[in-house]
Amino acid sequence: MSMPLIETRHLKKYFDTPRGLLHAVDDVNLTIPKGKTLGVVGESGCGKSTFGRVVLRLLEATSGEVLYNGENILTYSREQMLKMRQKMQIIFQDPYASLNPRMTVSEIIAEPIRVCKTITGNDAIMEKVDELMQIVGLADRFVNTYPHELDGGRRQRIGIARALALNPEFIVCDEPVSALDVSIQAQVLNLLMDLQEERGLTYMFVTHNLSVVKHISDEIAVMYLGQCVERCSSDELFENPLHPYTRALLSAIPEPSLEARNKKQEVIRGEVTSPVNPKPGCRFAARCPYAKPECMEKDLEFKEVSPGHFVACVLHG
Amino acid sequence: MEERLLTIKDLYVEYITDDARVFAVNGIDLAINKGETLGLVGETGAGKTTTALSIMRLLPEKVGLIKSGSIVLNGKDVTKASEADMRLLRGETVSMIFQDPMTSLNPVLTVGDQIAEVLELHKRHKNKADVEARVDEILKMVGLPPERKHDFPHQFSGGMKQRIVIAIALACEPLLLLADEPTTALDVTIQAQVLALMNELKQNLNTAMILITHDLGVVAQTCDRVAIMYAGEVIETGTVEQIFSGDEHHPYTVGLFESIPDLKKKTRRLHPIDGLMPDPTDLPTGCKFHTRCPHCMEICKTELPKPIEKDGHLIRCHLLEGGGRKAEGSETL
Repeated sequence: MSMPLIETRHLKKYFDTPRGLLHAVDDVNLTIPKGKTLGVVGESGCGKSTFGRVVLRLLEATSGEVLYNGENILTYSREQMLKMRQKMQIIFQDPYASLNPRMTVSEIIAEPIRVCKTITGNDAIMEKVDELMQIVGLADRFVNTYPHELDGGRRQRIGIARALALNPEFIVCDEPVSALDVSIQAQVLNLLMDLQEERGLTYMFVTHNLSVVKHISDEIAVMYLGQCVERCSSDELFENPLHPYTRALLSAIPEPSLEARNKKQEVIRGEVTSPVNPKPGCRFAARCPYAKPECMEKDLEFKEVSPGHFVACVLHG
Repeated sequence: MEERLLTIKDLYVEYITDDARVFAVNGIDLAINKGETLGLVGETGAGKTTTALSIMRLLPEKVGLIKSGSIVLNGKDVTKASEADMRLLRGETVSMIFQDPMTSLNPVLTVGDQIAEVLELHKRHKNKADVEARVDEILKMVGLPPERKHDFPHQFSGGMKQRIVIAIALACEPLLLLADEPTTALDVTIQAQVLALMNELKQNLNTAMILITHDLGVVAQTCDRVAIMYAGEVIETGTVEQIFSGDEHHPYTVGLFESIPDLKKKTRRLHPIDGLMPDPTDLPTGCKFHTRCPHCMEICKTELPKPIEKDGHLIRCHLLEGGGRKAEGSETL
């Protein structure tokens, strides 16, 4: 197999809080092949956004490695990182909060170019901005408007144009469509997929929306309280989910069809427990309908149960 | 014939601001029977919340105005009721659950006090002990241990807060519950818990409900009837079966369904509706959807389509006029 573009090894990120160590990302090993999309799903507080940021080194990892084309970028110096940033970008969740309200659309899109000096000269930069706006489907007339004058869908397009400004290879999409209405959401998803096809981009798609993740991802990783509990191809996950948490998550999505109406739902009880100083063992055990004593004893191994299908559960493997 | 609880006739609501008049609701008709659940679906700015606030008469003072039309709730026209009457009506006949449980609770009162407040205002119980007993009962009903009534809202998680909000809304067993995106702020597993709870309570108390949402999945699972709103108008209503399986729909409804990724089918591309919702200060003439509609005809640009009915399934579209109810619209489905 060819070398993955991104690989994380035993990646950990702990936050020091007054109540103890918060295990936001706890020993996550994932790979993303070039040109593919990895979906990272989980509920709020499971560490999926933190994971996205640690991979980009927007947050410093506590320990572990992030390999980009086989090189550990966590050891890079500031100057090396500045170069690396041109290859890896992020699209943020909230298009209302992630754009500077005092900059015009063209200034926002041009900012990464000016910072990294990939293009010099005002005319050349403006030409690039025009090109980017065309790619993401923003009309010329918005060049000098401010973000507050635009609606959510257009703002998210600005965020995408900004991420594309440096011709990156890898983009972390942190819930890019969850603040948008369904019809606009579909427009933005189509745009992201078109861009991937045209430019061979690699995405890490962080979201809590399972139907979106299935639509866009090649592989999916399910996270629960900082750990990755299951990982496999997108189709396999929906056809043959193994981890009880994945199953509960899938059965909790309300389906927009009538057949699902009378189906008995597997509603899991309880709520996500605290990620501060977690006890050893499976973190889902407290809510799991199949929990056994051995679940609580020791940390579980993330095992490959069938080719390409990894799961951390005593029931399997 | 089932008993009618709420009838909205030809309701127009406007917001008047310094620089513009916002046409939020433009002539909607809705009806709901006792014990029934109506799903009110539409995108941001479609006028769903404004409709609910009009029923509660909670539109922002001086800015939000009910221009014309009537809202008859349990035999009483709330558009003409006095403020004193409205205070009695709210909580007892109709109550509302807001979208964000984090901001709809009072942070400086214990949750027990907040539930008791409703009971005391409506003088349902004679003495304090009775009120306390009822608070315990209500908390148990929504699946929270009664001991936690002395806790403050910040000590609860989002899902639990939403349960408390539901407890407050149902404390006086209202006839009608307006739920404005009650689960949008929650995670899917918690959403499933809250929806199951609401379904169960609704059946036990025989409360009618208007569920405002943009999630068609939630609608399919909980509602009896559906009304789809666009730019302040109801463009299609019918039973869930008619909306989710019927073979004739408003082009906007079709667009909405094609915008959601299907978990079962494998499609590489979605087919979203082009363009954006029209600006409510400057609505297009004729059919409000004509600027985005793939089947737009000349008549759509000038004339507002009349609702056409078949077995209670109402669609407002020129495509269905003439030719009985068989029209070009069906090709696209």
